[in-house]
Amino acid sequence: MSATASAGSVAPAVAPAEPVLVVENLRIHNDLDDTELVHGVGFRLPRGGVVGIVGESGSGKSLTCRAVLGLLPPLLEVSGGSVSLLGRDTAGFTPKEWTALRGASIAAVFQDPASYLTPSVKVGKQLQQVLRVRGALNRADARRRAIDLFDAVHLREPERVYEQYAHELSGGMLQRVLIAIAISLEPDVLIADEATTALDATVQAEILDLLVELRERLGLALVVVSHDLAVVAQLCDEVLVMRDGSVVEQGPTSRILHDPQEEYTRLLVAEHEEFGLERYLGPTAPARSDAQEFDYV
Amino acid sequence: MSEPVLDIDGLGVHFGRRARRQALSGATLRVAPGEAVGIIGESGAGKSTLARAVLGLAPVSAGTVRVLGRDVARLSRRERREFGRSGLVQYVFQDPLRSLDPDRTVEAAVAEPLQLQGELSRAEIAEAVRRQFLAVELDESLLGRFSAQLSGGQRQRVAIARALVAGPRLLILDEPVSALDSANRVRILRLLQRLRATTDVTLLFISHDLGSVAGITDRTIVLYRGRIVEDGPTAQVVTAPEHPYTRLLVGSAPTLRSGPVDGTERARLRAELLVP
Repeated sequence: MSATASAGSVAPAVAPAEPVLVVENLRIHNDLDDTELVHGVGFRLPRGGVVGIVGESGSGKSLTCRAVLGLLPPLLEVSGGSVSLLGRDTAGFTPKEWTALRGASIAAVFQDPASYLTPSVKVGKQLQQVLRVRGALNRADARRRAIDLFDAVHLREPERVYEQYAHELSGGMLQRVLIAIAISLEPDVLIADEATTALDATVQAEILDLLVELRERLGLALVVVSHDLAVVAQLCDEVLVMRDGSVVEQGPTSRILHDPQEEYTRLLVAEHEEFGLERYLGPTAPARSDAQEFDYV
Repeated sequence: MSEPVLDIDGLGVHFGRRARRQALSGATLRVAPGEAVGIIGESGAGKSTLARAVLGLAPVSAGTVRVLGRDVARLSRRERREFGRSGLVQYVFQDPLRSLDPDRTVEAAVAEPLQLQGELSRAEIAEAVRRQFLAVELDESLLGRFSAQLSGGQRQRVAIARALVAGPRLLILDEPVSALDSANRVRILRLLQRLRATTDVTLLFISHDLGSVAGITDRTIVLYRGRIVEDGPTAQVVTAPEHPYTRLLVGSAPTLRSGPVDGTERARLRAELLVP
């Protein structure tokens, strides 16, 4: 598969042992009413690693992501701590520097893929434009590469999808298109913020499978954000449980699942054990015992 | 055996011009009083069509749907109105903001089914509404609010209170917890569990996600492309699914047990489903 080869051949910009993303004691402040919304979030994401953030709406998980992307809404600002991407502190980045970084080093997919695509332009064209403008490819090469990328995210009949409009595609297909666009400039970090929440259960699993595959194949590091502890637990080496802007609990996934220290985390686990399939399949199994030895790449 | 609450036999539903699009075919299903049944399937599988048929709102092209002994597809207009007013079948939607009238207080919304029944005095209705409010763990002080002034979890509890206040025999819940965060989800599921323990109301849970309601159903039905492909005790459907789609569903549900994702089995099942 040509997409695999070309996408996989990207040379690491930093030494493999060095984390690609480091967030330290991040605080986010709302200047409008002078309140603090996020009270100190921190994690280190190694190349090819996966960090998960679990929390309800209003917990600060999405704001954390937006700060990492340099996309905080007006009047919100990082008031403490730091975000370093590929060893560079992002504080004081100019909008131009951010624009250069987004897409090429860090990319994101969100819950509602249709709202990130232009309804009147063919989806293939939208990816082709990214490749022409940011990837400096000519028209024909950009088209070829776009189709390769659609193939790499397992869109069946990529040439046909290229010619289609957003409204002609299902939610799962749209999310694949968005993922293809997100990885088109071969970023080091991909943020998936509730990227599978609106999808049917089996389609959600397909997208999660795809993210894992991209991680393995491209060495992509992932930040997976979800309100569902189980979604995060499936993918992540480390989990942060957030509530009301604070990290309630943080640690290796297996520890969080088997030995949660905080009442809130225990509630999340208990919910699954009481009402989910765990009730029939037995409680959280030692299936993840191998995760203990996971060596963070 | 007591008379089934729901007795569906060979149900077919078609939509579209000259009824070309088959939404449901050959569905046969009996549900006994007090059962809690999950109806699971992907978008377009026919879940909501089945629910609409139970309410007498789907264009039935084959078979029969009997609800509490009535052939709901063949009721006269008057019979249908009387059946609706009886409040014996109630429906709770995924998004209560859209199913509750924004211009009426939630007290008025919950009182409406009792007013339609026309059996109680005003004072009795007010008292019944208050009691139902407490039963779904809502504070009395919220009675005068409008639905937009409540949180999502509170709104869903208002919708459930409204559905329960007239003493239904059958309650259909369409994705009742999909839009809620975990604390509210647990609360609603506990509430429904308590309801099951204290009444013999029959529950139909519609969901795309086997995992979200598996814990409170004793039986699960899986719809795939308009057909019932699996019908059995929930424990059996989860631990020994037969149809490839059910196996894919079980394999797709995120659980705390699943280790690092192994997509190979899922990929195999998907391939199997593509073969007609």
